[in-house]
Amino acid sequence: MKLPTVLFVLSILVFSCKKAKINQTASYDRGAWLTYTADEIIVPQFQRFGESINELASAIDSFSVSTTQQNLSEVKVALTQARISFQSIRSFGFGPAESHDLFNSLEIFPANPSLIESYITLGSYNLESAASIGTRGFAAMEYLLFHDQDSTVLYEFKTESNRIQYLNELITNAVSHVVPVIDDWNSTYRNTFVNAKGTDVGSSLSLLVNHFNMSLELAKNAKLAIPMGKRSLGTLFPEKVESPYEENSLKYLKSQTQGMYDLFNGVSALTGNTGTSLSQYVTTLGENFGNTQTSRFINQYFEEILTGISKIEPTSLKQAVVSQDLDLEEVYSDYQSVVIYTKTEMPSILGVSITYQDNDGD
Amino acid sequence: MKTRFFAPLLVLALWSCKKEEKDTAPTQSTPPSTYNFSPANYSGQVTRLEMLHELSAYAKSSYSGSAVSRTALEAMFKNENATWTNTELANSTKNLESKAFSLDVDVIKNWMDSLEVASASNVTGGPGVAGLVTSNSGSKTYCLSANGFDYPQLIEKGIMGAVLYYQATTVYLGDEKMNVDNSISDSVSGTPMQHHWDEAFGYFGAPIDFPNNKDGIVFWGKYSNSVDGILNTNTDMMESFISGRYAINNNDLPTRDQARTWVKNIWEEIAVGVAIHYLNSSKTNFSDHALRNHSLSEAYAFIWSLKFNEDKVISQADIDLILSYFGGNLYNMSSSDINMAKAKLAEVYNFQSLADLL
Repeated sequence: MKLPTVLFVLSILVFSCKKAKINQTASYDRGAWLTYTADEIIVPQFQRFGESINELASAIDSFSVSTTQQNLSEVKVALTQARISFQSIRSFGFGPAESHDLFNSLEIFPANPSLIESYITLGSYNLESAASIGTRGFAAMEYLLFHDQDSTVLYEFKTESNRIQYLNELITNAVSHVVPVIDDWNSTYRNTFVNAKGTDVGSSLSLLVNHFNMSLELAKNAKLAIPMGKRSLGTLFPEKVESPYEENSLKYLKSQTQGMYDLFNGVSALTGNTGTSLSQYVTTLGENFGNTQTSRFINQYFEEILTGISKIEPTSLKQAVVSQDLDLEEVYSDYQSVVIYTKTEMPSILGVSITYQDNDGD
Repeated sequence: MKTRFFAPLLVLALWSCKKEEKDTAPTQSTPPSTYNFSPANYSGQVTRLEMLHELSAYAKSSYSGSAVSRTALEAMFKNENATWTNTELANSTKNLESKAFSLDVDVIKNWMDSLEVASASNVTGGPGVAGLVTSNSGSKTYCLSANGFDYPQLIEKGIMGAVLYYQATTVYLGDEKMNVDNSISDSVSGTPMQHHWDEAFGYFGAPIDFPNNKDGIVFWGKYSNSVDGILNTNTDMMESFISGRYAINNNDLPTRDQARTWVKNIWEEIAVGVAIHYLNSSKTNFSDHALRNHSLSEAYAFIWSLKFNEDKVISQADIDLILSYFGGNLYNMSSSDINMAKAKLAEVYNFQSLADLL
């Protein structure tokens, strides 16, 4: 009699604290999934990104020593590579990336050319201050390297020592935000992440689901909706795309989306094989609610988005915005649709809350 | 057998969901589920909340380009020759200024002056330039000073601190207003002790059946609700207010004192939670001058307001330290300044594991 009573009490206690976990029969090994995600996806992707930043830094070094066309080309290629690699870590903005301000320092766009030029002329600036928005990170580097044809860019760098100095400051600033993040993941944070096995706010599952959605909404809102005039009653802002000078926005958008698709499906960054994944997890737990389609819908939308971007790709995002390309409209609407599944359905199946807000103040 | 068995289980089940354990009242019956006490009267508080609402709306008219006058703001603050939409306010003998912590009245008036200056600008604002600043998405416009401060926020949240929070936690729940008669009952307001407790509740800005009913929540009630998902402040706060008032009805002063401490602590948690929330938001929107500076101004005012609780957990030195990270110019702040402010708040309140979620 005693033991069953205690069990009954315990079950009531546990049940009373749960939000919506009725009738949960199927389960998923969250610990194994977190370990796999950390070791096969997150840490290797950060590692790879770190290497690409190092290559960019050394290309800038060589270019600073010798301002040749060849070296300029190498810096440009290295910048593009680093940005592509960056897209794969886009959903990992919590923990170390949060504490070292990785995204605020690297990803803010569009650049502010007139402020950059005034800083170059002045030769004195604080890249970290709020007033300096638009003067650092990838967008600022792109402006310096791609804003005009190579011969002009080369001439500017050759004749203005402040300009080459500025490019060096930008990479130094970038490295100072990237290195500590990778160090944290390699030292203590990997275990912190793997061991936060719950579903409560602050658990690794919750962080990942939240940042996955933040990344998706960045793609939908900042990368598409704003340039496409969706936030300005149809007034287009083609110059606000992620990559207005290099005109590589679609490539970056595609890499980011591919990264999310791979993360969702547990594609290992080391082997390319799929393993235990968010997608399986959502499907397994979904069965408890008679909801087995969510993962399939999410994947379908991701696939449509990726195909859709490829269809637009012969032109640039900037041009597609201006011409109000129908494929672009389609892609945008697919992002809107997938968010419904990732931000509403997925969290409710997994029993986690979306805790960030689209913050427009009050 | 079955029913006898079940009641303690339910108690346990409820108890297990609490963040902090609360001792049950020594009386056999239990407190009501809502703040439905009679007689109870806090109409003066309701009037002042309404005044703050209008004062704040006038200050925010600067967001749509109106020049705001310091004189008009001060008139509303003092309720002397003020222009009110709700004309009943003009006939009221109540006002906000006389209830504000007196040593900080000038700080608030200086903010009103700064708003007058910023709102007089007719150019677009930005670093070093006062004026209207619109968010990147175009959805929000704020009137920012040359140093980036959103003064309508400082004024509104500052008054929430210097009047509402100060009056409730330090004045009405302070020793002087709590060590009063609890035997002679007025037909409208109850005993003096009951009345003081009700007046503290009135400043919270929530209906008596909050959080089941969220209609008409204002100011602190609204902000409690905004951090409730993480901090569970709605229920904690209501249960504390109800438990304290119920204890006063039973003349059970130890239980009342426990509830006093809870109200003061939870209220402080709300302010801190909201401040951290706005710091997070300023980081999320770091690239957006309008949204970032708006959020930083909100955070600044909530942190500044922490001082008004005489039994606060944070020390004044820590408040000053955190405010120093803001400097005098929000455009000069870096992400790491914001991080330091947030880390300090989180450390003082043991919110480290929650800070990123707020």
